[in-house]
Amino acid sequence: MNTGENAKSASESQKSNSDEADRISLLVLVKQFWEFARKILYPDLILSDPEERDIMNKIWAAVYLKFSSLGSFQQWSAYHEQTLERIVMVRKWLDRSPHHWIPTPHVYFSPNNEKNGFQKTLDWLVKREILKIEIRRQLELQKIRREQKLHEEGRGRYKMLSRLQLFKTHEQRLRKMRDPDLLRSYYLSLTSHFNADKQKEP
Amino acid sequence: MMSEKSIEIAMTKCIVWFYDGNSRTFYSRDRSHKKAAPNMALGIRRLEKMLLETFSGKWETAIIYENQENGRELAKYKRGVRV
Repeated sequence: MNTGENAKSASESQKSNSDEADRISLLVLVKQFWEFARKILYPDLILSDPEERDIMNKIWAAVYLKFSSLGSFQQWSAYHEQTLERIVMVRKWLDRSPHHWIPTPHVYFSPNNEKNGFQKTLDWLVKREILKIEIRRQLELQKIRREQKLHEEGRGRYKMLSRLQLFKTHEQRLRKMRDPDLLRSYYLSLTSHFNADKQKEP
Repeated sequence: MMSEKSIEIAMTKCIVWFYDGNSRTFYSRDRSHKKAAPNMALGIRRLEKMLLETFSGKWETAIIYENQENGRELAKYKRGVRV
């Protein structure tokens, strides 16, 4: 750094100021989270101020990891959206069976709760997102298979194209999804398709 | 029985009116271990556990206050439920 000492300290203090502002706006997320969780998960619970403060401290430590990892406000609010999504997932899970239950908030949001804490629902969210991607891929492949079938019968939207042109359009469409696995399974399906054709011929 | 000092440093107290006409004051234990910082919420939760488990069915009304002059009312229980 070539700047003078004063300029440096000034910039530092400015930085810490903005950090401070960020920190306060991040704490608002914790409060929003707790209010939402309380409304959705614990509608009948009556709590006093010190208890709520204690729970919010726990949420800050367990769900938001004390905001220790560096991230912009946008990144943290994206994470915040996900956590709210997870609360809704928990609500749906509770409604699904009378045997499902969650502990009281100071246990549920405790950072030391490995057994039935809120942190476990992160896995649920990841699982669901993976499933979503998988389903999207399956649908795309299904569509392509149907178009191939129609093309063979000389019907459908792509009946004017040759077989190679159809292949090119399909390949391009799949490439847009930026998923090498999907492309590979498309090629595999093609080979099995042609093999089936060969078996039919004789 | 609690020592006078622990009564003095307790953050909350709980006054219980029993069905048999007696009333008693209980003081909270706010530390999770000897050198821990006092945690008011922990003390309140412990008093609540005392009311709902140890003395369940024996009291009509219980109120938790801050343990100081003109302390605020923090929680109120009637016949086993928080109101």
